Amino acid sequence: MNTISPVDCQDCVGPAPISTVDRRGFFRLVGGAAVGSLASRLLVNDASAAPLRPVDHVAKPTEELVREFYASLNPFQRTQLVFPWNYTGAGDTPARLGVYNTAIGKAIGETLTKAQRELVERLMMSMSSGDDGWRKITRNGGWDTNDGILSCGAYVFGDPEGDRKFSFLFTGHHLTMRCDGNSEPNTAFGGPIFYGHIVNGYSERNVFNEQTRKVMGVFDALNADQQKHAIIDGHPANRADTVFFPTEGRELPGICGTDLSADQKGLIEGVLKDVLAPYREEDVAEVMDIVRANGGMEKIHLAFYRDTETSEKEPWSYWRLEGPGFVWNFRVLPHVHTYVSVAKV
Amino acid sequence: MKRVSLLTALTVLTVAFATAHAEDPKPRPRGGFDRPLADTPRFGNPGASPKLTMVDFRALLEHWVDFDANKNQLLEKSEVPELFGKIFDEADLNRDGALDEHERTLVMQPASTTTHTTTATTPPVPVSAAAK
Repeated sequence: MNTISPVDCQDCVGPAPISTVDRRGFFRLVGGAAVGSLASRLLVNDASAAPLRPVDHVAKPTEELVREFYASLNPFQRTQLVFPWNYTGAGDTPARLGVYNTAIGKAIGETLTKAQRELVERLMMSMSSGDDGWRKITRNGGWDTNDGILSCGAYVFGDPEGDRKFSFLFTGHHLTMRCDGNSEPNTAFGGPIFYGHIVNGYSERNVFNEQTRKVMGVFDALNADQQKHAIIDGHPANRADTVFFPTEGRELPGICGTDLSADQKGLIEGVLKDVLAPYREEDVAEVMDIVRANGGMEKIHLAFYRDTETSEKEPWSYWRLEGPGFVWNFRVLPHVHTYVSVAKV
Repeated sequence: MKRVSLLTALTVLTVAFATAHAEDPKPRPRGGFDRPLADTPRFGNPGASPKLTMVDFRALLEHWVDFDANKNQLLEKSEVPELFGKIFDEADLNRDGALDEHERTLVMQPASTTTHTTTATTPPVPVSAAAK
């Protein structure tokens, strides 16, 4: 049983940044249609107005809460929490598209009042699906931090008022989430996301344990030959590298959807439904649309990774769903780190 | 010929390096967690709270007007970010739940000797001491 405290995350305390995205990688993070329009603006870092959002944008409750949050910020808070759409900070790609494991600027507790923090909580709640989604996203309400949501960060890129592009970015220990009103076209969740929990992924105390149990059910349903194809020795690249889409022509690891029976495909669809369950309906629908547009479940591979950390009781250190424009990279051991990226390609 | 090429390459590299540094006179330290919106990376546990100091509170009070939401010229505790709560309590000498002009002035007086650090888990140094 894992008994370490939420912040005693030695695995996360490393000398290297968790999410440096190089420029080549950036082009593999966002939807094909978005890349062309962003390419010319990659290094634009001034405070000029953000570009216009797609005209088919429809206001949704969460987006309205982003606007309310933005409107609630006083001038000093805006200097700390609001950034131009293409702001790069110390890097050379837009900071809004990174996957992060901590507050990436000022934390909520040092910038926002109680009323504003409650507004951010409502906003995050509206990005989740019901009580169970909220429980997972908050990791049983503790946010895997010392002071709960106060140790996390909430930032706005672009301009949520009017028709300009914007992205609300929430980052904290084991969490990166976004709400962008579809400002990033053809890209689910507004860009790659990250979630985790500081508990062994096989423990029932891990809020994402159900996802691993479900995927192990898929493995059990495979025949011996299929299992052989699905098992990979070693592990996939960790951290930010895992969100890059496979380059064309590269053979994907694991067993392909085309090699599965209808029943087995149904089980994988069940896994996909389960991993998407914590998120709001709009995000789930967008992911499913993109999966279909990219060739459907048939094109998605499922791989199970074993290494020196695995055992008979805890057989996989990672499992990974990967296909065209789709990566769901789930690390089970020593605790859960999951990188997700979905975009039309 | 090879030596000339090597020298040329070295010169170009040196000029490029110098130019890059001339454009960025204050290069950011590398390492720790990627925090592109912060001045420095964060080291240590990613779930830890920021260690707020009296310096941070003074920086906040420089903009107290922005935080005075009801414009009553008092800075109430509910108008201040929550992790400043303990420092706020120390600054609130008359314990009325708000910082008036006198209390704010005392906080803004420069500290004389020590650096005062407080977190949500450690007791703060009294503002009265900081103001001396």
